[in-house]
Amino acid sequence: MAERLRLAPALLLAAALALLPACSHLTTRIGTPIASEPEGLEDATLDRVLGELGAPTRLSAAPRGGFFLFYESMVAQERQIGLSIPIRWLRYFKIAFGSGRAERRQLVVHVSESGVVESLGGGAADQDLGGGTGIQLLVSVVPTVDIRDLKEPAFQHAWGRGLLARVPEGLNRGSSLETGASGLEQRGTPTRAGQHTLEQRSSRSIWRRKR
Amino acid sequence: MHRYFALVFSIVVGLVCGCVSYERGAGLDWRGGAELSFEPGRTTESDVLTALGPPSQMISLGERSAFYYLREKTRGRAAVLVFYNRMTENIRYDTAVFFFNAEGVLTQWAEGRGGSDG
Repeated sequence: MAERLRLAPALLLAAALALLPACSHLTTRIGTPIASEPEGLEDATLDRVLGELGAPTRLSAAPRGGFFLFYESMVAQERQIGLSIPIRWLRYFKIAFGSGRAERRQLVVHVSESGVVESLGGGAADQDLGGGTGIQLLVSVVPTVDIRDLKEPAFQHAWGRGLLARVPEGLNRGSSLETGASGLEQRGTPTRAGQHTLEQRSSRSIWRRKR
Repeated sequence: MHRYFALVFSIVVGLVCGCVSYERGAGLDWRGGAELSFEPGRTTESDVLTALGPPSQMISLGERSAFYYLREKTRGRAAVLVFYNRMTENIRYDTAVFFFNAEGVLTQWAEGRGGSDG
């Protein structure tokens, strides 16, 4: 009996290894981490803002004068636990359970026509990206959480391509949030609500469709 | 049949296990390895365009205008060990922004914190 008790941890470890054959950790870092609440920049000049924070991720004219500087960074992580049943051919597959989270930081600075900060605000958020389950080959690593919207290439690359947009998007070009003339939006903002509604976009990004 | 399948699977595992590294870029390679040096009040739009070429984005900001240069660099590393897999992807932006007044003279400029080596 005592010998069985001594073997119990080893047996438990063996069982755990048999049932947990593949854990995966996927990390995506986007942009350079920023201070979401920088101090002493209220009423600062544009020179000082650029000196402290560097070039923004995006910038846009502000509808009521001046312009916006937008800084954004993100670390998205997905953790997967893979379970496999060690019976016959089933052992070569795993059921992967994944969940994702993103640590996001943003800062927006409104600079007046005269080059002085009118207002600024930022935030840091730990965002739930959802989860997923899938059956995968044991040796494969496939994301179960869709973060394509967060990873899409910077809008600036598709700036000129906007001239070739589909008619609903072209007609809305004057109010587009991607040209730097009419405002900004964060990465991953849904396109089926708000400003983009008139563009009748599909769930996939404009950039990938035109590629 | 089962043994044959196990053999094939073992070969696949042997081939798949390992490390992966990749790197890709998007956008203009505007920097060209040069250190940037511009003087507000003296440098003009023409000087910047001559030194760096066309920008990724030209933005009208009311009385001002801005040139935005962007190079996107993605570096990925992965270790596929079957029992534990780790994948890391870093997306960095090498950016610079130049603000000009109505006369086309540089008023402010800055590089992004991503750095030239991203």
